Amino acid sequence: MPCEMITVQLGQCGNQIGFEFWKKLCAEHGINPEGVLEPFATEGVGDRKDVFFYQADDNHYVPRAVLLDLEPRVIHSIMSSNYSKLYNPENVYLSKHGGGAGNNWASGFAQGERLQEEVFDILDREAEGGDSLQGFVLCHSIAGGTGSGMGSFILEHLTDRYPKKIIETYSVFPNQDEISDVVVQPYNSLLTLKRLAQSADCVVVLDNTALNRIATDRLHIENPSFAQINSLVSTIMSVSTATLRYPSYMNNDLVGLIGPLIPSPRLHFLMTGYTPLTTDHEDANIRKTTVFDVMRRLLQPKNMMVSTVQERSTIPHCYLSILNIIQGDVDPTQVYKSLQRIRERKTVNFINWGPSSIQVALSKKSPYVPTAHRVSGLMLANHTSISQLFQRVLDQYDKLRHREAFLDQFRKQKMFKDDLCEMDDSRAVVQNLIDEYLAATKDTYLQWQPNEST
Amino acid sequence: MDRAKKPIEELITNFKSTITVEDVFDKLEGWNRYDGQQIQLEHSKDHSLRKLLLHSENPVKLKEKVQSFGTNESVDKFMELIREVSEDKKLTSFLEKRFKEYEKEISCSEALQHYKEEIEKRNEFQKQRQIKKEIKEKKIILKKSVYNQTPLWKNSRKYQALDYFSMPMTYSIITSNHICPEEYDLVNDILSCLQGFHGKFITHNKHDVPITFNIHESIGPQYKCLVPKILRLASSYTIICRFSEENRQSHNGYVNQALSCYLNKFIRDYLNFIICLENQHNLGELNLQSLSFAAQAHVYKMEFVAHIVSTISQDKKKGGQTLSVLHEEVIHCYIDDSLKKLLAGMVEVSTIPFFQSLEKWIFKGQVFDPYDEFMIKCGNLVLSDDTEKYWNKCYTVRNEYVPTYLEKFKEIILRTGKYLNALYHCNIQNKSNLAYKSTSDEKLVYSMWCSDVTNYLKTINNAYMFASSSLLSVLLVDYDLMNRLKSIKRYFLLEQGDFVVHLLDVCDDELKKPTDDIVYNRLESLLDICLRVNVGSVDQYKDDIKMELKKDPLSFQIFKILSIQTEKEKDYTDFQPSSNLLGIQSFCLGLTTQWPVSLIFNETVISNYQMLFRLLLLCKNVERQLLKVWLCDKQLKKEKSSSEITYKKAFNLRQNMLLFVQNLEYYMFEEVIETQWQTFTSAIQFKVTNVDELLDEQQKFLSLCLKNCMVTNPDLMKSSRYLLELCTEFSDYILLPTNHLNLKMDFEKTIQILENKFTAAMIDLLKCIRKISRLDSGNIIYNFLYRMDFNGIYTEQINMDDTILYT
Repeated sequence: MPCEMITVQLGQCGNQIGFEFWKKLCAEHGINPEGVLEPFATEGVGDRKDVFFYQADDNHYVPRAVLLDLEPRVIHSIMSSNYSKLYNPENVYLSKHGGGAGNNWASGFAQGERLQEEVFDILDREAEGGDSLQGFVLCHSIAGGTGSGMGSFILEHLTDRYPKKIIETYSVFPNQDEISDVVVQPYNSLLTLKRLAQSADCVVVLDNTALNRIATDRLHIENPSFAQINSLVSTIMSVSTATLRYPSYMNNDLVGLIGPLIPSPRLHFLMTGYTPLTTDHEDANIRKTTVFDVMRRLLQPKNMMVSTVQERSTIPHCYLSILNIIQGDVDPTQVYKSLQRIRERKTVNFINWGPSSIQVALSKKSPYVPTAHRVSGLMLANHTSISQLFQRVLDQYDKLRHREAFLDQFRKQKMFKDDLCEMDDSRAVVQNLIDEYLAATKDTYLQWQPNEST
Repeated sequence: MDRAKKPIEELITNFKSTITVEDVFDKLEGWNRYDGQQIQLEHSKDHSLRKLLLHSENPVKLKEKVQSFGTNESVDKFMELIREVSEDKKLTSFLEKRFKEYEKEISCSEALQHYKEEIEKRNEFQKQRQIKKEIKEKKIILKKSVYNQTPLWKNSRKYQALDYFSMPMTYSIITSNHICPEEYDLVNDILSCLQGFHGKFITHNKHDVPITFNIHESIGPQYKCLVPKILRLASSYTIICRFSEENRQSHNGYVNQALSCYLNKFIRDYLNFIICLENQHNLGELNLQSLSFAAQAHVYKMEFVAHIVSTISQDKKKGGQTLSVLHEEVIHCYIDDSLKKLLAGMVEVSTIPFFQSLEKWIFKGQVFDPYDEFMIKCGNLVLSDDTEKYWNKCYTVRNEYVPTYLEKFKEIILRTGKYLNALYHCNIQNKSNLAYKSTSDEKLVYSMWCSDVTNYLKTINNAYMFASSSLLSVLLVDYDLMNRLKSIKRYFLLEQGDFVVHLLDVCDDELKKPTDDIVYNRLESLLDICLRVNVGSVDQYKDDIKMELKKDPLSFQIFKILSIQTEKEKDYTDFQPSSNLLGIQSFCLGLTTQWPVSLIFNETVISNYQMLFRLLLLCKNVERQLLKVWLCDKQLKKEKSSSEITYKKAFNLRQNMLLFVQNLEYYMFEEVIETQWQTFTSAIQFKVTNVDELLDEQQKFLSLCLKNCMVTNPDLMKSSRYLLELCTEFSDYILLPTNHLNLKMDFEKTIQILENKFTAAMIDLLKCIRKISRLDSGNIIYNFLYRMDFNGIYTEQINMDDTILYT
């Protein structure tokens, strides 16, 4: 079967969002927490469970998920939940050492290196188990220790081992609005960003800043919990794979889905937006949604899961590509009319060195998860303003680095024992990435060359 | 001499000879000369005898015979003639031929006699069946002689109806008798004539149609003016009588037979009337005046009937045609009530056998038509592979046999029986439910005026409703047509996207090969695997899907099937079969169907679905190749060189191509096929009432899909196909196993050339689309242009060349 995916969840954050994701997938496919098909779902509705699950000998469904962490807290909570029987216990790997990575990228990376044999045993076994593996999905945060450090290591090595497979990551970027208790967060972020830029094929950026803002502003939750935020994330993850799981005319494999979003291999960071957003306690407040409403709202920055400033920027940021996955009761002519109205308003800027448009994928929806809205939509967009996020990481790094703050923890690790050139190198890679994104805003992009000196 | 010329000329023309009058004179003169020279004739007599003996089969007997005649001038002349005949080869062969034909005719009539006796033994219905059976067995000559000629008894008993059977022998007596005949005798004569006898003073011209009479000149002028008026009755009588006799048997069809039967009664009434007159006459109470008066009352009626009857027999009308003639008379003639009643009787009676056939047809779907007179013709086709032909050709309306009062409903009538017939062929348990069960008041009865309340219309409509809804529901319910259609959409229109992805993945190696190198069975089993493992495996009709490898390229198939009658037709022929198709170009799905599903998915329909399939598969494959290039490109991102302009250009070109293919696919799938599909299925659910409408709707759906998928427009077809070809060329080049990175210059050049070509072709296509959407503003094709040029990257170029064009 084509298009099988292996999910790798790393660290506290990665396992949390992964957990929510699997919960969502199970609900959508009518699979109960034990992996058994619910009686109402035995008929099948043309959904493809095999993209993310495989069937055990007794026909119950097992997620193609690998759970990795260096400290036991989150994984223990997963394994003591009622979903504990869902996962293949062989795929759950906890470091025996159990001490975690101490929010230190270098420690995570080093432990990844040390544990690589055991980790890749699991990954290779899982990869060989599938008929035709299309790629890996990595869930992690870039700020902590395990997700960022160990994640970086695994990323690098997955790319080497499986050069033909697609490696997609759902990377959570730290919240800029609150002061983090992880002081070395800028270092972690920068070092992870380098791997994301060089080893991942597609990075779906989940910006905690924006997620929190959306939770408070749009969903009116005063102090959004992790679970609430993660539910948002899992929605994005499940909808962005909906066309794979509910096959229709188009976008039935991962490469067909993300390929056209990424015109140039390095410019592979995607933003997401979702509408309409609701929470459980807000069902009463449902407006009529049309396809146009959905497509219009998706273009509004306030619905974006990445916090960037598009309006005030002096740089004419623009879209490289847009894919709207529209679910629900949709008539193709409405889509066309909406596109016309959007184009007439001229509010959307596109690159001017090549053709680009709002691609639309009409997707089926799970019949088992009732929604109050007729139409809903997810936008996957490749927008040059994402570089602001990287710039922010760079600025914070520069500040810390300038003060030579908190470098001791890093120097303890082998990689940074002699010098910090790994950090300088990472900075150059990220700077280049920013430069390329900025260059893409101009019509001279095709002639643009990276700055050799950095 | 001149006196002789005229009859000779007549003779020549009658014999259709080529010789001229002068030749004949020469010959005659020659003979005269022989007469003058007796000795020479004597000599010639011996000479001719000798010659005759030479030719004769029995010379001794002939010689004896000649000698017994002695010398008689006429014998001599006769011998001379025989000699000439025997010497003229042409004439002899003609005579021989004639003789053989004569023998054949005799034997034929013997066979007829025998045959007729056999027929008469059987009762009515069996007879019809036997006739039908034997029609096929007997030779054409027999068939024709039995059915299309007057029956034999008519020949052997010519004068059953006293059709003035002998030449009036009294003629010579009368010529010598110059006494003016008594009025009594004249009336007697007239009464004879009125019954078909000849008279003393009145003779008939038998060869005139209608028959005319000569009145002897000795009849005084005071009678002479009255007699012809009365004799008009006789003329009409003979016409009616002949018709009645000629159609007494069913060889001219049951309708004519029924009419003849009705006319028999009419004739009987007429004869009764004559007998009354005769009685009066015998009592001496009838003078010519009162006879004329009495006749006058009848002549109008008789002539009216005779007129109708002669129209029918003149044009050899039968069946529905006869009914049409009668009905037209009913509708259009202004006649008095008694005539109207008579005419109505004629129509009603003759309609009965026709309506019996009609009932069989609309209630049971059977054609009962032993004499070729019914409005529906059975083509005697067998329900085999070509169901489309069967459906369209097996039962057809014979327009000439449709009675005018059914003209408006012939289509409904045809369909009613056709549907019942189709039902009969279905695999249904209880076939007794398939016939329309008419209630007693639903018998078809003729009525003069067609209106909604007319009995037969109501019945026909009821039967039609029954038949059409039965067949439709059998198809939709028993044969689950909607799910079959969904299955077709799933596989032929690629709605099951993962199936296509899987198929292309699994069959990649096979489909890359030239068609001839493909291991058919392997590919087939691969297809089978794909059908089984994907989500579509719940599809219960997946087993109907089979594989086909087409010999002709898609463009050729399109050309062949649509055979577009445009000036651009040759554009299609340009895509001539490049005999070496790759697997991917020749691969196609097929469908195995059985009656009655094959009725809906007939060959034309399937080939339309196939064209769409091939087009869509082509796009899918191009997309797949380009995505392979993407996978290739992604591995370059760590390389510094990937920032180089050449690579960026290649990336950009790939992106352009990918966008084109995906936009094209989205346009075709969502905006064309899906939209039309919605219309199509809702039409089936809410609009369609019979199978023909269903077929029409499906054809409409397919035509719109083909049209909007740029298939039916040669210009669009050409440019879009060219763009796809460029995409293939590009991906083939990039995915070439040899490492082209070393040949940097070449790479740069190739990419540049491809880019130029692609952009130019794209502008071409977009311009073409814009031209079309300008002419036809509702054309959905504009959506594609809109999508392709969403960020206005092509706008300038499209417009730029336009201004040049228009200034």
